Amino acid sequence: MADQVSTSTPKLCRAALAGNPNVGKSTLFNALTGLHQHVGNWTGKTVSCAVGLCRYEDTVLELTDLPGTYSLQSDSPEEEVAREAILSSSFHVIVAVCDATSLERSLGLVFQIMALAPRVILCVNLCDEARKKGIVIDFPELEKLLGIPVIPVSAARQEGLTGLLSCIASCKSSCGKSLQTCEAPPEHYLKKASEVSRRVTVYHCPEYRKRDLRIDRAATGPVTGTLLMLILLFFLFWLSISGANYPSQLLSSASSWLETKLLALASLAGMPDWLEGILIFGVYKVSAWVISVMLPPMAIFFPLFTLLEDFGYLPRVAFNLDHHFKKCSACGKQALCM
Amino acid sequence: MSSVITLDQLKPGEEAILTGISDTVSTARRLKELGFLPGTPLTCVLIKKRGETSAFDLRGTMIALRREDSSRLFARRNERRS
Repeated sequence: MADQVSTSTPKLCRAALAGNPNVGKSTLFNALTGLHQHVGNWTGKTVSCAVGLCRYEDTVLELTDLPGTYSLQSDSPEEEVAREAILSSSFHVIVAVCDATSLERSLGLVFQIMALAPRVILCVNLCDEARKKGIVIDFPELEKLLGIPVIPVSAARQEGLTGLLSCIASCKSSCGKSLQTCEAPPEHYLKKASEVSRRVTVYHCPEYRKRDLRIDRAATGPVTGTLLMLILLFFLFWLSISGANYPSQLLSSASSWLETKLLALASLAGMPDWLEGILIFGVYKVSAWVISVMLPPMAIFFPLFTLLEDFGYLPRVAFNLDHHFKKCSACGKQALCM
Repeated sequence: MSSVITLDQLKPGEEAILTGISDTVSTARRLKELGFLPGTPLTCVLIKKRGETSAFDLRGTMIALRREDSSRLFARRNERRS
């Protein structure tokens, strides 16, 4: 059996992941390739893309994570890299990655890719998010309208990944017949995208948007927005400054206890004074101080800050503060170093 | 047919269809990338300081613009279809 495995050379299939920024392309890439990846540089370009390997049955898949772009108009280095990669025949399949929560937005690029590449697979990512938002997508219908295989996945939850791999490995895409050479303006693709997405998506709870909108109004209102921001930021800083005192004290008392032990140990070992000074009063004491003072506030502040970021509150703060930041030629985003 | 307005004139809840971008905006390319293309329907969601900054729902994504950008985007008001 072992001989058989080593003698039969595995088939190699090269595939590239293309899609808009923020559709979870890299999450998908990481979920598929794990740690078997390296960053490849495109010759003559500053843009780099990661290349990774993974296995599906007897096929070795070489996946390339192309830079995220909104179009393939070759206006920016990222777009040029993506465009060249798709036009070049070095890939067997192009996997177009889409965001299920805003299919319309991401389909425009898919049509552009389909115009350039002979074999395209559509991978609809973030299906779990879409489900949460009550968005239902008719995948068989989408497949029929586009004429290419459509695979729903949710990379963060590792759902549908094997299906995607087997689809890439089999390369049985039906869209291999005609390579369109002429390209239409982006407006054309966007029109097609909105038509298709309207036909396949159903929004089950429009109240979801309404609730979002009400929260947004409150979070950015002149009175409520400012109040909310002051309270939240005050609480955040108060917790990280004064709340951190307790773990700080704990750490510093623990480190001073350890210091006395170390001193005793040093005198037991007959360490010369100068060495003791360097090692214990120098190296140990300074690092213990730094850790006990810096670690607790950071361990409190950053997780809380990340939480606010995940709630999507930071862009609202940026929206609130942009007006003031503009006066000193900055922008609202800089308020919170996003 | 309603007349062409600039996006900073929209009030929250009003819908419009984008008709064009003034070429004088240095960010025109970026705006197009974000989806501000002629023919795109959008809804004004939030405004601050009477349009000094306003946020628009554009194909399911919320994007905020300052007046210097939004006043150079042209649109036609869309009467709310029921």
